[in-house]
Amino acid sequence: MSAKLKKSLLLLLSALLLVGVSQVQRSLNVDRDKLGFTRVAPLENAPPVLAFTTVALGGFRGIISNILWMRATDLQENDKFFEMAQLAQWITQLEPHFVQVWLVQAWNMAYNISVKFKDWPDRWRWVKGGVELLRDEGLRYNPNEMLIYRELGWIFQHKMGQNLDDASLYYKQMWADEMAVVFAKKAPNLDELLHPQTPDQFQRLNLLTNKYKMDPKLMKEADDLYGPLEWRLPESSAIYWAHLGLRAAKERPAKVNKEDLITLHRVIYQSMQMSFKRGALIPNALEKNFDFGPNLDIIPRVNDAYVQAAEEEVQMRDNIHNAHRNFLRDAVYYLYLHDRMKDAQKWFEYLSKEYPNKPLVDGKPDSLPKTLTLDQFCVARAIENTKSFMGKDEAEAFIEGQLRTSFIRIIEDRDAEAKATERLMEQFHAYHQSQVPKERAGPIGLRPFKDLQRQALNSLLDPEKGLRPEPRAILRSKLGLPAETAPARNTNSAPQKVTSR
Amino acid sequence: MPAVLTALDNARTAAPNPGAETVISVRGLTKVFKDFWGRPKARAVDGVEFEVRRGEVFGLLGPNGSGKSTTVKLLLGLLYPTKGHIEVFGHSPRHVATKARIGYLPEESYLYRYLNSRETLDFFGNLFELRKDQRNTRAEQLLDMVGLNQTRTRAVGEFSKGMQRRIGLAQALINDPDLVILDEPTSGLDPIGCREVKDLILALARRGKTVILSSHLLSDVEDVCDRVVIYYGGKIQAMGPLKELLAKPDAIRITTPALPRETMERVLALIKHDVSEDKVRVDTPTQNLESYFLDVVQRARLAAEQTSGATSGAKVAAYLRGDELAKPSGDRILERLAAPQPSAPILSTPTAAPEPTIDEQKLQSLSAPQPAPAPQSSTPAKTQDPVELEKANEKLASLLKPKGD
Amino acid sequence: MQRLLAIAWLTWKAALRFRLFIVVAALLLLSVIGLPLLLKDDGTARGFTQILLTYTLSTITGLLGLSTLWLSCGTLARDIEDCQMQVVAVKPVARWQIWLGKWLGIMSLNAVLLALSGISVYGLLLWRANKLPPGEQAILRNEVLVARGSAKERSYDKEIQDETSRRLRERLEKNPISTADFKEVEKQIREQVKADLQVVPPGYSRPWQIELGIAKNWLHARPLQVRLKFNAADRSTSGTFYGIVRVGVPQKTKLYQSDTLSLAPDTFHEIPIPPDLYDDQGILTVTFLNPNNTALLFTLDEGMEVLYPEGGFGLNFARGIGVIFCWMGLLAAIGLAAATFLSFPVAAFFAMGILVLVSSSNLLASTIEEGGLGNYNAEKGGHTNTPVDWLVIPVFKGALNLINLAKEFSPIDNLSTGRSIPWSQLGRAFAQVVLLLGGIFALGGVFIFSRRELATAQGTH
Repeated sequence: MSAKLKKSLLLLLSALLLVGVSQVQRSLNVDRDKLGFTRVAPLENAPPVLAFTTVALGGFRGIISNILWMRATDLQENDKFFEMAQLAQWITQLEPHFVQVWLVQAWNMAYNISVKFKDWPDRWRWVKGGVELLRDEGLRYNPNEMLIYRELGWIFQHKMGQNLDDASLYYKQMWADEMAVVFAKKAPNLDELLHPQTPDQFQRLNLLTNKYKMDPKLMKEADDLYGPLEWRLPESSAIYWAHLGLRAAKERPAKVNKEDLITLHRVIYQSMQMSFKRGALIPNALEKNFDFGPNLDIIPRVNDAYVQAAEEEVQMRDNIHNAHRNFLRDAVYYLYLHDRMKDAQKWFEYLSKEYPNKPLVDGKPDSLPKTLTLDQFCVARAIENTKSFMGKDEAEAFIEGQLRTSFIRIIEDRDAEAKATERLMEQFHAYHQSQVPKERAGPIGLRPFKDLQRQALNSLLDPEKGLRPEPRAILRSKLGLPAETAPARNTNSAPQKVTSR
Repeated sequence: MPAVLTALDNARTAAPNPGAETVISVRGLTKVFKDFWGRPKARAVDGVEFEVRRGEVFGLLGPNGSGKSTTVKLLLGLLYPTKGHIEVFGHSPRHVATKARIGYLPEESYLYRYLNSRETLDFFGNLFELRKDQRNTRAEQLLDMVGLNQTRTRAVGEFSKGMQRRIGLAQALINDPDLVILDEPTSGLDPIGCREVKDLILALARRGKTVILSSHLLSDVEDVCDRVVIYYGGKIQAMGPLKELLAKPDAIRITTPALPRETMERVLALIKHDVSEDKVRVDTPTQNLESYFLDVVQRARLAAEQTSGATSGAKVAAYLRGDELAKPSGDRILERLAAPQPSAPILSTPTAAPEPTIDEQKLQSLSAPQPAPAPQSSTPAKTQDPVELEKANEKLASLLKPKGD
Repeated sequence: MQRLLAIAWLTWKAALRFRLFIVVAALLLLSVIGLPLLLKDDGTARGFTQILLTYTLSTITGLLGLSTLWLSCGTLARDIEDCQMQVVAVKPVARWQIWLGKWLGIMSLNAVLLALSGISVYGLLLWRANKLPPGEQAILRNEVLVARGSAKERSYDKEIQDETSRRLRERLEKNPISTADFKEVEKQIREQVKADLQVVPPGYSRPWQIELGIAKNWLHARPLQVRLKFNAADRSTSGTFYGIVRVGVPQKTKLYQSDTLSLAPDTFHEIPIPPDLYDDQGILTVTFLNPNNTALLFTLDEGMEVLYPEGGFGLNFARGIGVIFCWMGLLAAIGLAAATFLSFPVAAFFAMGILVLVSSSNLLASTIEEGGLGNYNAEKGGHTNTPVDWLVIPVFKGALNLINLAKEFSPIDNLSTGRSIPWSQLGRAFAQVVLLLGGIFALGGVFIFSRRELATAQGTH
């Protein structure tokens, strides 16, 4: 073949190929846009070095990031974690717009690496690392990416909020400490951060926006929609970030996957549930820390969330209804325990209306709503975990134990709960007595309620076996009892009454 | 097979012992360069045979590409022969210990460009395992000799071509070698340098060293060599003592100081009895251009003109002359004071073409009827075949004529 | 000897004149100083030290390795190409002496550079360590800036073998098996016996008798660390299992019991224990209690060991640098060997190729594990076989064995986790890497160099 003929044939071939490529180009463009590859603009908000390298490295970024990722996997298999933070940063910085990279790296740090350490502070460091990666870096470069918000919310709700990790209590404690600084160690007050007056408030506002990247306006929004929320707990942050995720999703509906949207909603629902179950921080003056208690003000919103979820997720409707029913039962019981009788009654009726055909008490198929009163339901609920029928000693022990708790609640300034517990125990006492046949009332009947209550009180006030001196004094003063006489230290004092526990 | 032209006494005053040991012996040497696939590419040396005796100055002549440098490299073990056998001091060229007795000046400067002259000599001195004081002394003397003592600290890479040749020469001699192989030693040198090199070669030969010289500067070869070998196409075309090769046996030359006219005529008349007039030539011998040039330069030197770059060497290094450690310094000073020393730096007396002294024997052999073979054990020249000689002469003449080759 | 030194000196001159030495030294210092500023740590002083050690030592190894290859290829190949070698070769110096002299020159250069950078890194670490609060300093000095040796239980091979034989005999008496299956059955029985030793059933505890040997003489009042790793048959919901570690023997030694620890499986955990818990014979008894519902498995070689301070960090660091020095020796030999018959650019390329091959030994290892070059087919659950497998696998295996001779020493790993690099390991590194592997390349290189006709190179003027 002569050179000239060869040349002209090659030219023809190249022309054909060009034409072919131009046909494919259009669909290529569509794909590129969908996958987010068409970022030509330099990185916004990036430090100059990073912006320079991402532009300068060009197509090599993918290769380098792959190599680094392989190294990271290698190291992780060999338990060498000290490089992981650095590698995660490099990998994400090389491909800052590739969302999966952010998600996987953060999840890896928060879940996989953290659990490899046995000390709680080490684990917390890695969970926090995952959070910071997404919150401080990922959102900086991808402020409208719903998946990042979802992942962030998930870490707060699932890793920190739930109890799967042995260190979860530590996480909650650490997070609460950090938030306590923002809210000046009292119950969170969003208004003073929205309209700061004093320098201290300005400073705290700064801390909130700059370090924790949270906007009080949006927090208020979330509070109104899903709250009221205890902002010192992780599930509140979960709701905050998920809320932001929903906003981002609304702005770019085309990019949002239906599945992802559902998981986003789930973050919110589950966080709300968590908040309901134990979303109130109750200061414990005795122990100088916090106890977790249910957040009762959130009940209406949670209810709405269940209703909405049932509408949205058609396949899961039965499960959702189940969960709804359980929630309502819990709501009624907690309200009762906190002496909010009116609300308890209201929701009890609502529960009966919504699920008339489902038993109220597990294991008792005939406990349908219309057969039980509120009191009966709560009593049944209280002894749900104990044996179906308790003997005299067990029942007395149970009542006494609960009454002791009620007295301790008095010390802790939780009077409503104390009163409710007392009432509940009275109900139980009456119920138990009613179950005992008349002829056996003597041997197996319970002692009078007041006796049991006095016994509980005495056991707490016992100088040797009861509470410490300070709580004893508080209890005495709260109940209007005279102060203790100075205890006799010599052994000539009368032997103490042995209380049954 | 080329004509076996054997060695005769050469014209130098200190005639070496012809029965001396054979320093180099080459038999049937062939070198074929192969290409990557093993196919023969070029036959650089073909069936070469010669011997070099101790104390000789042996010349390799030939046009470019005739195989001279290849032969030299084969002698040094830088190339391996395809066929044939080489012996250097009785060992193979690759034998490491004999290399201590060899000095080599390659045709291009292959020195380390980033060393300076002192470091170069020091390095090579170390390779010969010379002691430190020995290295230092010899280096000093060599640098003096080649005239590079002003440029100690400049890297060799910055030298001019002539300076590089000089330092190359210096490293070739640092170990006081018994065999010196010089490949184009005078290329790139000015006439003064050329003269010095030639003097050096002669000095070495006087001391009994063997020198092998490869060159295509014929005048230089003519000045110093005892025996030459002429290459062409990888084969030896002519070999033998220079005198014999160049001799025109059918003519003689008699040089006398200026004669008065009538003596001249009487002499001519005498000659005319045996030889026809048209075969006789009378003229005044001319001075060699080289010697004239050196004269001029010497005079200029005396007038203290400055030159830059290489100065010409003071004298041949003492250890090369053989009196390195022979006399304590005090005596040497005495010697210098006592003996007549030329004050001018140019020591080597400008020699014209070697003055042919009356060689009685030669005279006899030429004029007298053929006597019995000479008592010397070297093979007599009389057994030469005149036809071969004729052929050799023709070949030489054709070589020397400029050819469009 | 004088000749070797002369040629070594020549190599130095070349490196210095061509400013290679200065540039590499500058880069080394720059990396030692600059890296700590650039690196992000994991928040602890200990993590920071580890990442610093890893990256600086890796950079040093990489930089020096590359420059060693470059220099070794260049110094020989260039000399041959530029014909300077001809002038040297006609001197009374054997070819092997030339080769060795150049190698010595390169290695002495490396020694100086390594020493310089090693001292800088060491100094930097100590300086930073001193600026920390005392609590963190203590952790650092106990677990990172220290050389810790490892003590394990004695080997149970004999017992395993005896028990295996016994069970095998029993089995044979019951039903005889053919010789083909014999090996298989024996293997299974052996695995079974091993498993019995390795498993800690739920609710049980297993004691390990760890012999400290002569180390007990200097471990008085020094805290030690227990290092354990276990696997679990089932997964737990939280991803971790509980465990309690008890050290010491009642009435014989002091006792220590840890809290209930939350431990992830398949990970190494280091648990610090107080000093002086071993008895007079130097035996430390470590007991692990398994309060979970699943059995946990502690392998015989990695399950349980005790780390004790064996030496100072400084000397250990020096030994680590020594291993790196041995690697450089091998690289120099490879470069010089390549340069004996290749031109400079090709030799450099060839040597880099070998480096790339070595660094992709992971790929080789995984190919051998998977049994073939084919891709993983998730449906069938295996790997597709390619027709070249029968050739590729043995070749890869051979190559991997060779590579592992050099790569099995990991000074950077050891130094960053505070593990000791004993003199014996350094000696072995020298023997395997320099003498064996380097020697192979040296022999090849010298052989080729001796055979080579030096005058066939054309001068490049």
